[in-house]
Amino acid sequence: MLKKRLIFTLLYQDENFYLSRNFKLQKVGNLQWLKKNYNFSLIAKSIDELIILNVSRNKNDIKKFTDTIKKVIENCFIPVSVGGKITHLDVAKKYIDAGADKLVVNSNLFDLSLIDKIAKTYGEQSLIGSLD
Amino acid sequence: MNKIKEVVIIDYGMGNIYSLYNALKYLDVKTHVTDKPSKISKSKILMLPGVGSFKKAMQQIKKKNIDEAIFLANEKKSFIFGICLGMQLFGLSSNEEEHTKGLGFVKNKVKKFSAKEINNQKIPHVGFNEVKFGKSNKLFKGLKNNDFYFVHSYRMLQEKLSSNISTSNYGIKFLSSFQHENLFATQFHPEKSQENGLKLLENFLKLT
Repeated sequence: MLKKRLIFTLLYQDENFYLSRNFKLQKVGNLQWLKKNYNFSLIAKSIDELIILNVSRNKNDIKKFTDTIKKVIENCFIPVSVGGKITHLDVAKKYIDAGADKLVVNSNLFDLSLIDKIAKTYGEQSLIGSLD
Repeated sequence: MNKIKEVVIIDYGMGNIYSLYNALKYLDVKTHVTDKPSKISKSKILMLPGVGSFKKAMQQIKKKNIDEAIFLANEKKSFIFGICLGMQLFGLSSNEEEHTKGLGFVKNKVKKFSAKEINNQKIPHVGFNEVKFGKSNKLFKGLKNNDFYFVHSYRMLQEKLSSNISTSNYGIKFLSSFQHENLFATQFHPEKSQENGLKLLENFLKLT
């Protein structure tokens, strides 16, 4: 039988991590802060999955975001889902290449041709639909 | 690990290789990621990971002439470890999208879970689930518990495989790993199964 999973979510925007408080984003710190305070290689022994969402509106930070993902999940041997700005299959590919196992699609959830392409390339199990 | 091993991860352009690479690095293994047939056929220890569609995977493997290289490595009895889709690719064929031939190392077919046989539970099967194995199965030696991370809609049918296998249950019992001569395969993801997964990979490397 399947076990219950404890999933941890990180919100990312322009090289910093945020908490959502009363629907407003509150900055908590950058990657160094995260590594120091959470130490993901250890925390991964107590959480079962990790979700990292890029909530930035800045169009050009996908590269910075994927670099951050790589650093966050180094030595973190649990499933990782990544979301934010998945507008094309190449963005999905970038996230997968950075170490994502699953893709969280929100705004483009009803772009059915994109959803179909992702499902055909990475499998149906790689898609998570998100609503907020 | 007493001796430094060298492992080649076959990169055919699908799925998450980074986490497997990190896991092997963590275990002090010299790890290479490649799609070059010459490098694959010469390697003593190969890993075939993969997430995604069976049909697309076989197309990619053929396009890059990786299939020939894997056959050569198998003839030389190199150790080959298939993970998730990698395990399924070892099989005879799959009905994902349409009937597609696999590498055919074992004569087992790959089939999707049907809603009926798993009592209308969700497909894909995602999460940590228990793995049952025989006491003599060296791959699972010294584990803390039996939980491993799964994410799949298809599974390889057990058919004639009987020794050195493990099974799991998702409404119905299914094959979650096997070892057959030089071939090792897990439907679950050791590189995503916390300490247990690292232990299993370490056990595999000890067997090579």
